[in-house]
Amino acid sequence: MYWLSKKRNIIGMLIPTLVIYTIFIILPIGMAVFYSFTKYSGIGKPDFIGAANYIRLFKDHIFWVSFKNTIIILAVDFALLMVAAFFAAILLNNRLIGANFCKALIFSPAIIAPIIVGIIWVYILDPKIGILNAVLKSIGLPSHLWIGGPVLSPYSIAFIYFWQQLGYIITIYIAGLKMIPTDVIEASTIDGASDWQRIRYIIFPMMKPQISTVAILVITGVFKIFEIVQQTTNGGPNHMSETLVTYSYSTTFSRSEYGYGMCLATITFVVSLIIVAIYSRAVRSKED
Amino acid sequence: MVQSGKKRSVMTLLMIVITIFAVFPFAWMIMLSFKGNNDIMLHPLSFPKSLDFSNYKNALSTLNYPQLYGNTFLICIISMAIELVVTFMSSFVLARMTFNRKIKSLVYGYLILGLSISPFILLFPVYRISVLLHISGKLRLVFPYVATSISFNTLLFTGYLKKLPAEIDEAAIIDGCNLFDLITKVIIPMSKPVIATIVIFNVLYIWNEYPFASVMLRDVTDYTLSMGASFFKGKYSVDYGGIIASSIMMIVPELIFYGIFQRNIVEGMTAGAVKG
Amino acid sequence: MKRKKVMTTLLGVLTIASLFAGCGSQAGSNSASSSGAAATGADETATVSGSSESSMEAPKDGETVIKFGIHVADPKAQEAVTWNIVNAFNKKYDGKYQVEFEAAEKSAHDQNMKLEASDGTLPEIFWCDSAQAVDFSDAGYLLDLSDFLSSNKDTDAALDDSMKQAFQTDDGVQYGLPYQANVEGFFYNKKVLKDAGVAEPTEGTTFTEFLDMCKKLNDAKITPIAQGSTDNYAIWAFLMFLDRYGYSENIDKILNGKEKFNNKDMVACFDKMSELGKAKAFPENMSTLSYFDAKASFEAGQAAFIDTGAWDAAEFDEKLGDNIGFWWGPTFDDSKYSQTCAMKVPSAPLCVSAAVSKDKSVQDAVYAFLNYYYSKDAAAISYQGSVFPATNYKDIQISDTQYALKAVNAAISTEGWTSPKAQPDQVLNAATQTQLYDSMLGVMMGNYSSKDALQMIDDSLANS
Repeated sequence: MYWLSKKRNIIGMLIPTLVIYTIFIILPIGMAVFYSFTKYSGIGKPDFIGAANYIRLFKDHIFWVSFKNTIIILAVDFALLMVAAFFAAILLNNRLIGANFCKALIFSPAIIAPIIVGIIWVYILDPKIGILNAVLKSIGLPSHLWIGGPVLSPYSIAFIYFWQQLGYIITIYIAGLKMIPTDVIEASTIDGASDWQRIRYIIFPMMKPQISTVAILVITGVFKIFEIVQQTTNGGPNHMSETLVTYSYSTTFSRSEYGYGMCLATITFVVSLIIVAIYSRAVRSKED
Repeated sequence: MVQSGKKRSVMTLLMIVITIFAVFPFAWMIMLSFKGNNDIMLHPLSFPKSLDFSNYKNALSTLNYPQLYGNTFLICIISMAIELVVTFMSSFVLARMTFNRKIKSLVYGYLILGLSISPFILLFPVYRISVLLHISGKLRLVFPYVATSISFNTLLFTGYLKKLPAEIDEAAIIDGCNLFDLITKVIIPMSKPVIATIVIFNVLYIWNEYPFASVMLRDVTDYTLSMGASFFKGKYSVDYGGIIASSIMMIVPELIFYGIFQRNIVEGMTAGAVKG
Repeated sequence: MKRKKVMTTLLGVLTIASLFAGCGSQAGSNSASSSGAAATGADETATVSGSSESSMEAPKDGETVIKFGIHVADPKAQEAVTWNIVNAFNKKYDGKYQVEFEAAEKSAHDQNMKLEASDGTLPEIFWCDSAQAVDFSDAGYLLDLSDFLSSNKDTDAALDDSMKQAFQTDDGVQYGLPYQANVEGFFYNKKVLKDAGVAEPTEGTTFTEFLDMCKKLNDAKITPIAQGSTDNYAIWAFLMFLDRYGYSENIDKILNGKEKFNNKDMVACFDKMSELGKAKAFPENMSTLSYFDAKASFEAGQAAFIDTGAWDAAEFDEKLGDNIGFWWGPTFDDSKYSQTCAMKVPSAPLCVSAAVSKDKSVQDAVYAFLNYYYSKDAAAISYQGSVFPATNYKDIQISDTQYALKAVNAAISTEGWTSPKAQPDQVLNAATQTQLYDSMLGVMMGNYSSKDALQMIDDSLANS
């Protein structure tokens, strides 16, 4: 490879990506960070107010509620998607009859328009008209405020996100599973390895790149969950189910506090980066 | 892999359970699309009394579907073409070329940053940048879509390309390949699973994307499919039937598309020339 | 193996070909955009293109085209009255002026107006969120319509002072004119009340009596008030509660910082909403219901009252016929303020872009349109569609089958009842307005105490 790695080639092949990315992603982020130090309604000229927005944020009760909710969702989805999707992918990768068909169907939640996801899940989770409570009641179990109450909403949102992302994540895992040479697997079978041993000592180590890809996608994805919340609870009742993104969205657009909204968005961005960094470091130190 | 029949049936059963879990709301939505608006809101659980196509008729008469499909398709093709070429090249550099490691990981980190950004933060700034660059009409969407795909594509492409054995490159070069030949004749054919994955994800993202579309497009003749649903929700009225029907009109091509491309993932490397 | 090769080649060819196509069409569009801008967006027709019965035509030569930015994506279906007025105008001035919609759903519309203000592409006339209109005006984006009013006496006279004052600054700038008149309160279902053995409310019905009605309705397994909370703006009938506790008298003092929201009167007022919540006046799942869900349940006879405005009149006529009644809401014994309050107030304003004054022919077109929009003809179209226009024309016939509109009209016409000069929430900036909604709903659902809820509004005002 060394022979082809001329400076000219390297730079020439990186430039288009770097230019587009810098203009349409990094520059806008810079602008957002700039606005986070201003008071601005989106109309006219912004007033520079220094770090006042950041000070306000630390005293803002709703910010902490949405922070807590986001972390709950992250914890639940990290566990569910990393583990459950991994085993589901292994299952679907077996050449079972109808597996391809099932894969397409399992993927379908990911492409349903968010507004519909909201409508459908409200009919499932709604405390009064939802099916879930109806089913629970009919088998004699207590019903709960799955959404619309103070406690369970973030868990319900995490579950909906899990449902929506399952197909996506499985697709990535399967792409990775396809890269494991079949003869390695066959050899292990001949050697008499059990299913568990095969997964633990062959598949799992060989899937490490996909696993960390998925981990990063899940972490960053959770920090972008938006439509599900907007459509099921709209952050309510009274901001109790707000996440960092929905809160910064409603601040920016409903309340027209563009400066404070961008401050919330900046913090969200930074928190998500920090968590990704912690994860990457943890994985790397384990590998060393 | 040789497995006992009993185990296979347990696995098949499990697969069916997962499928039902995933598909149930979707099936339900199709059912809802045949019900009137009030029925949807008041009796969401009941089966439709008869097959009522009025939601679809309504959607078809309100929206100009050939145009919506055409616009969405065009934006999709252009964005995908640019992003695939551009991000494949840069990921190839990051994954397989040799240069200063520090710079390499710096560039990689820089490109991955964007994963954490929620698109609505970009809306206002990106609009202003597009105006400054004098991009107008539906093409305004192309660069934002390409740009938002870069982080994700870099993550997947480099992850995959790094795993292809280094000997391939050497063998190809010894056979007299130049860089262009190496990429197009050797690496791309071997990257089918990851290309398919990326195509699926990004096409679906673009197909469904609403926030950018709603801010960047002004002319109804430029509208994309995802804006269809907004035609059925006003401040004082909502037509769930219309929303659902228009969403199904949007989803059907996606499912077909996914069916086709996921087969590419499945075929993947199995017949490939290289085994690790 | 062979297939694979074909696939790869195809992919390669496709990518390269479309790359060229991409570049080509882009260059093309650049040049098109510059010429398009000069043509005042002549190619931008906001008709829902393709719908066969659309009556909007392509502009003819010599026609001055002006754009009307509206807050729904499909004006023909969602703002039918305005659609009809615009079409009537286009027909009347065929060959001379043409108005075209620039249509987007509310939140997209709000964003678009801000963005277009920043790059100078605002539509000539646009519907503007009331909380934002002041900011637009302060930033110099809006045309002062005082000149228009003083040179068009008929239109000036057709608009009552209260309709104009809502959109005037202290130094007399008229930055907008009301889009329509909003009339808000409780609609009720006569049949449902009768079946539950509850008498219809009257103008004098007190809060205590109302609580008693709620109890009887609950006993009859009827939800007293259909009310959702996920569309936070849907609290219209409860704005009257505020007004009956002196909101309009005191709001200026509050906004100047001399008084607080968290005062004795407002606490008493919020306590009433909280009592309604405790008396189970609202649906059990209010926290997950939208305004649309609430409306559907009212129309299906599952609830006796609904908090909404006259914009739903046509829908109620269709669904409930002559079973519909209208009521301003309960009166309060413990309030020292006037209880004879009505709520006919200007809705959000129509604003005109400041750029209009730069081009005489465009300005003429805009003025002609405004004159038509506030004419008697337009008012007649409006009443036909069961919408109250902002104008004060008296002798317009309401048809016998417009039951809901008739009920509302009767309530407005009561002698001696007065409306505040603006809808209570609309005098606040966006942040405080949103907090007011949140606080009111929070108290109704029992999530906030009255004092906490009011304190949050004060905090919000202090921050913005």
